[in-house]
Amino acid sequence: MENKEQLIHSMKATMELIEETTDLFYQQKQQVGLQNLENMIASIMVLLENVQKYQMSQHTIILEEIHFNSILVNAMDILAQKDYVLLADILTFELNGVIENSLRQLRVCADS
Amino acid sequence: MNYLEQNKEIMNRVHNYLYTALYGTSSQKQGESSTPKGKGVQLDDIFTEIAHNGEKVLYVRKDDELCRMNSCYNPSHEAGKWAEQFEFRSLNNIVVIFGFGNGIMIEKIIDRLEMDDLLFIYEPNRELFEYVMMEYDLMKVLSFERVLISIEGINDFDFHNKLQYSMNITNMKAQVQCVLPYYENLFPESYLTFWKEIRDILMHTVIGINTEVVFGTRLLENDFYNLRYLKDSYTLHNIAPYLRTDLPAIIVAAGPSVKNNLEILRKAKGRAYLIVVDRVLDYILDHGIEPDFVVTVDPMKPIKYFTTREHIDYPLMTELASNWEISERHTGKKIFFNCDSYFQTVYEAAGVQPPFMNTGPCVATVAFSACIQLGFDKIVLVGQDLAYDGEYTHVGGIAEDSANTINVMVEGVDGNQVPSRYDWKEFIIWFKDMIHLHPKITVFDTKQKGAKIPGTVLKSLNEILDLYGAAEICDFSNTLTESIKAFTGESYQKALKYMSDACDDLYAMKKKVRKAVELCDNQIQSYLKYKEGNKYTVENYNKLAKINKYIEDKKIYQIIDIYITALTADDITTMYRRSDGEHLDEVITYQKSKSIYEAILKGIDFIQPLLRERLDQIPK
Repeated sequence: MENKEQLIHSMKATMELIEETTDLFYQQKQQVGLQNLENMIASIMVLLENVQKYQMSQHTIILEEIHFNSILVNAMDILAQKDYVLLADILTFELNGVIENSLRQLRVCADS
Repeated sequence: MNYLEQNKEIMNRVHNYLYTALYGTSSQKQGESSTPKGKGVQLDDIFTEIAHNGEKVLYVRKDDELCRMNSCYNPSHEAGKWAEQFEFRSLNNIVVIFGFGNGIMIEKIIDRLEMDDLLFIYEPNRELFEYVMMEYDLMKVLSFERVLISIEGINDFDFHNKLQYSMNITNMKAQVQCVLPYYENLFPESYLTFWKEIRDILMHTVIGINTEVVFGTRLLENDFYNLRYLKDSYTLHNIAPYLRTDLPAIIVAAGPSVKNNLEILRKAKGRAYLIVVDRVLDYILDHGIEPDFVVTVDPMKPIKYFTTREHIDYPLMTELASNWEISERHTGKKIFFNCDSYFQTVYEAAGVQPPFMNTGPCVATVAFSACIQLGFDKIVLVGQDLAYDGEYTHVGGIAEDSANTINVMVEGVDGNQVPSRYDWKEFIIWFKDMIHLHPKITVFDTKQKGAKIPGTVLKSLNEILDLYGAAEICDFSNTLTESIKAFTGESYQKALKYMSDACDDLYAMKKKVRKAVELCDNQIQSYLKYKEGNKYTVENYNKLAKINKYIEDKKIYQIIDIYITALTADDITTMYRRSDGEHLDEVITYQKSKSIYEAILKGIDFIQPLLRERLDQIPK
């Protein structure tokens, strides 16, 4: 239970940070966006840790790590190309999308 | 109907100025532009692709670099986020945007505007705009009436003119500037031009407001004192039909280069009109040259900058608000070229066309405007240096103290940069604009060095006289006869009665304004105590609205307005600023309104006795 609450909290916090960061990139505030990106990545690392713990304890998959990691790698490639709007898109519609799906799944699991 | 047809139809209906500039009259072929393509930035390619969500994405290629102008996932989402960053903190915002793009970001800005907000768009690339007109549905943007769209090289002057016209004391702090993503890098020169334009227009507005603040009550003192000259005065449109406007009008300003033209100015007497600004009058007279007209405008110009002579009786172009001391020293005929809005109603009440003119920022621009209004089609500038000549600022070896001026470099007549001042630069811009607005007038600049005034023709005064001066010497001195004065006996009596009635109006107004102060106090107490209005709020609001209407309907209020601008400028500039809480907004609004009503009371107390006194002194 504690793991689950922790995980939900971690997911929400990460999604918020992603939205904050992507907003900055959409608004062409690259410098501040990049500073936020560091916090966002740290939050994602914590999230992944919590996901692993939860998945191990519950013997279930709520987030496909391979798929998640490939999105992250893609995002970092885009970051290297300095296409910040595309980066924001990938973070918003792909990465956040995956986390949102996982969150939904988690809530369904809790209810059933 | 395809997008181009649809967009053109809406543009023609709602933004006809742009439609005409781009496509000309209806006899032009569809899709064909009326104006030739300007220089501008050349783009290698413009195309559109489809985003993940089905919306269109604009691409631009320049110098082999591809620029994607929108999100390729969800352009609307990106546009909405981009637009969210701008704070519209006032009730009357002016939003200025560099770039049109494909319109999607503009739409998101429009979604956030409220009914008193204005939008100005400056698109630096015509080719891009025309592409977007063909490929995108611009209905929402083009249907929006409170937007001015300006395309570089097509109607950039509209941007300058209308933005300047729209900015005033109530909204100059309410400007929000936006730059569409990637536009700064794609069009760097235009980007710089855009910011310089914004800065210049803001400075122009500040200068105008500061003039009212600084001169404040002096303007009114001058207005009322100069009423004594109304009876025998003239206006520009009265005298215009009697002038030889086929001849050149030579405006002599006070720049150092005047000394190079003294001999020719003597020869010009009787062959062209000599219109001399006040600052250079004595210098010209000292060199044996007599003007046909003298021009003055400054409300507080020291008398020594007009003349040190005891009597000057050359016809004087002046305005009611000009320095009364100069009016008194001048003993000749006065031609009023302008007056404040209240005095325009005095003329109208008398059945006389009121004098009105765009004066510009200095006495030389006044002279220029007067020449345009009089109908001259050849205007000659002498001594309009607008640059330093070494340390000298004016003819006669005068070097004005530059400690409090901002010095700038401007383009000289020889193409090099020359040292100038910020206010002179403002004059250059003014002349450039006026020349642009009056393409049928030829403006000659006779100086050989100094600041370049774009649009002028450089020519020597000698050559101008040979080409355009009268073949024989004319006598212009008898032009201003009794019969062409502005007022007849009967119309003058009407003017007097109108002004006398205004004194009575001021009594009545004072009572109502006192009541308005009480009502404001009532509401302020209520909001401070209860954080909301009371049962009388709506009733009080309606009462205040009625009082405001009463005040605004009284023409004499226009005089009071000059007075209160000086006293309450700060309050007025922030009056429409939103605060962080609704009840705070209300308190602040009532507090500021109360300040303005109290200023109106002070204005009435100042104006009423002065007007009465001056009316008693003027000739009946």
